Amino acid sequence: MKILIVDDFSTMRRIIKNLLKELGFSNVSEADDGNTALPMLKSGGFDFLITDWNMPGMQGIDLLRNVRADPGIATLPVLLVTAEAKKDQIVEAAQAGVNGYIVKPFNAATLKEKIDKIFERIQAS
Amino acid sequence: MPFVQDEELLQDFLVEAGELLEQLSEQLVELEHDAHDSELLNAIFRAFHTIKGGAGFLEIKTLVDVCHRAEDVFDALRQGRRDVDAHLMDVILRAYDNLLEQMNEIRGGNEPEPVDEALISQLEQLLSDESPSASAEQPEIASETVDVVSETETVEETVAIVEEESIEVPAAEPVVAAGGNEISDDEFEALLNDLHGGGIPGAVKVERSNEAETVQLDAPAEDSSVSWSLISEPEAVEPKVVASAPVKVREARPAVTESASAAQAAAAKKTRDAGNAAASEATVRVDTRRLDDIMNLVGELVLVRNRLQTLRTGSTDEAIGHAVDNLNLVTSDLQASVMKTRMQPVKKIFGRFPKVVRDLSRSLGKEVRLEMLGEETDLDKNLVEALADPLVHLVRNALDHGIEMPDAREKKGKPRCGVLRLSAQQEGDHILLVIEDDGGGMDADRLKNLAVERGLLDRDTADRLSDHDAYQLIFAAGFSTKEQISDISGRGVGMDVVKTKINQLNGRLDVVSELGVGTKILISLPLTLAIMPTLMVVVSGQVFALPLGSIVETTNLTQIITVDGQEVIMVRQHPLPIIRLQHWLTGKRCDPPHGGHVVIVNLGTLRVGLVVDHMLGQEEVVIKPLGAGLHGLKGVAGATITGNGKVSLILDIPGLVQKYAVNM
Repeated sequence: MKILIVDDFSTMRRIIKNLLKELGFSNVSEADDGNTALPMLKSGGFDFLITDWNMPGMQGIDLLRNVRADPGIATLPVLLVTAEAKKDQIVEAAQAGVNGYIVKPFNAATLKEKIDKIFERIQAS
Repeated sequence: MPFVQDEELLQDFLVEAGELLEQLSEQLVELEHDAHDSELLNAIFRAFHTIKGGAGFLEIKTLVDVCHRAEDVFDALRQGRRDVDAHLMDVILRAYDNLLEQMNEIRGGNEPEPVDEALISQLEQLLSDESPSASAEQPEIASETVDVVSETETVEETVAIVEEESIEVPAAEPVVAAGGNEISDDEFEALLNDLHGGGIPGAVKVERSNEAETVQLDAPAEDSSVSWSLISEPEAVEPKVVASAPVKVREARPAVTESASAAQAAAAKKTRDAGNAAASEATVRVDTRRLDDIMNLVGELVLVRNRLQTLRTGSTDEAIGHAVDNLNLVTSDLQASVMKTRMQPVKKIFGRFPKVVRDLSRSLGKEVRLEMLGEETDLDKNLVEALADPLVHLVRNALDHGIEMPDAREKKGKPRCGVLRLSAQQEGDHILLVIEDDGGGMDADRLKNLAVERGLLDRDTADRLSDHDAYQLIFAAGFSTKEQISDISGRGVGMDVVKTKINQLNGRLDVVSELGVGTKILISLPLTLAIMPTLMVVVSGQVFALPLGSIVETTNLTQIITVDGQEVIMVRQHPLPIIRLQHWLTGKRCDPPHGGHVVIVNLGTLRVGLVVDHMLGQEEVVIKPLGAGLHGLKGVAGATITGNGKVSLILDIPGLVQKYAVNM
């Protein structure tokens, strides 16, 4: 599974990358904000997107909207990384079409759980 | 540290978070001038937020604590729930200082001290005294408004889906149930069910009727804690086919236009950032050790080139001559390019001064305006790092001793607000840094008296000093002009440390001052430390390299006179103490051969002539450290390989003079 991690803080990308590696996902690419991520996603091949919410340039939520608006990648599963599970924010994300969210900091087990849940839902449909 | 299993990760975090903090210091000072710049507020919020996020993973709880509170404060600021005032800035800057301290502790391998409760409660206090009026004036965040269901006229998400002709609902405006603004996993699942039924986000739904009037809506689910009321205004929406993204429809009355204008701003920003995107992809982070390696190799190449050039003079082969010329050209270009990769703008050091000046002028009760020029001037990375402390010291000094109290300034007919000017510019192969204040200036006579009092000079010598030389006394060890030692600059580590440091960097330091008008400190530095222009000289048949940076001029050896046991020569009617390098080298005092030369060097306050046998000319040399056996030898800075393939020593002139002076 090819995964794209989007975060402006490279330490954070590395942390998430390490966690993914722990879970056995090694095909991971990085982008530092929505503006860099979008062309990468559009050029294809990604199966999963993990994006931070809060970024300069294009925010995670806008990236999500752009993904959903592009027919080529509209169904790409998106996991949003947030600092807290504020209801209004999560609702906004859900309406924008997010597949799941995860609250920082998290460990590999939580990440796995979130990813599994997303794919369960996709398979069920 | 609780669990930082990955040391490398921690180091990365420290570097990256350190950069953020550096920017923060500037941004915070900027904020004092423009408290309503929403982009700035956002950037500051994001910085705290990002550091918190990273610290959370690394389980550095103390960092998280402070960042979290600061982030909350800026969240309130950017939403207009609170205004920036002096008290808030004080607390935030204290929090900032705390973060810096913590980072330093962590960098040093220590666990940071538990955060001062007072700081935490002060930060929290900032939030609790949000003025209620302020929050009432502000538009509520859309999702918190419950009954905005009517009059849906515009679709908010025009930005994200411009090209989409149709807007398919599920358009649901959440009505957040009272209590608990955190969402649980179950609620989220229910929410997804609501929005997409059994489907997945982004999937195309083609259950469409052709009548424009009908809009397919997902039925609201009755959930215990989240209930959904759907807003939709069929006329406003032109449903055709395809639901791309689930889109919310929101009313666009002025009260809620916040989100709309935010979206516009985002759109504007997006176009701007599109241009930046390419630029940001064009940069790569490289470990400085790699750059050092490359620089080292280029150094070796320079040596080979020098060697070839020397060999070529003995050859008549034209083809080889051309090839060597070519190599010469390419090497110079390569050297320049590699040097450029190591360059950093002086802004990196200057950036910290707005805050330093602000803090200091506050605590001293002075009014100071900081002006900075030439921040984009590039300097070798090592120099930038090495310069930081001396410059901070000089700036503190200028504020503490230079600029007068506002009242005193007024009496002298000066504006109350003093000016401190920092400037940087490139002058040939040197960088000139100037720290200039419009304060009281220095009194040469007082400096001389003090120097005599402190036993640094005898009265005669002091009286003979020119004013300009007297100013240089401030760099002498054990000299502090302020009778009362303040905790700001008079802490023993004084100007002499600054001088030593600048000398180590092959730089020069000069002071110009005028009583009542101000003081100017000039620092001149070489562009890079790795490759050094030198003057090659011969002493007793051995070749030595003298760093060109400290050489003022050369002259022929004339009559040596002995004054008070010190050998001097007369240069333009001024006596100049000399050091015979031969004596230093061999311990034998013998007259130099006829036609010896004197190299006049400048050591901050002192001029000395070095007697050498011959001068060979200038050569760029690459400094190689001495082997362990010779390490720490006074007077020798390193070694290099000369054009003729021999090793020669690079002399460390300040060290040499010091050593020699002891022996004299």
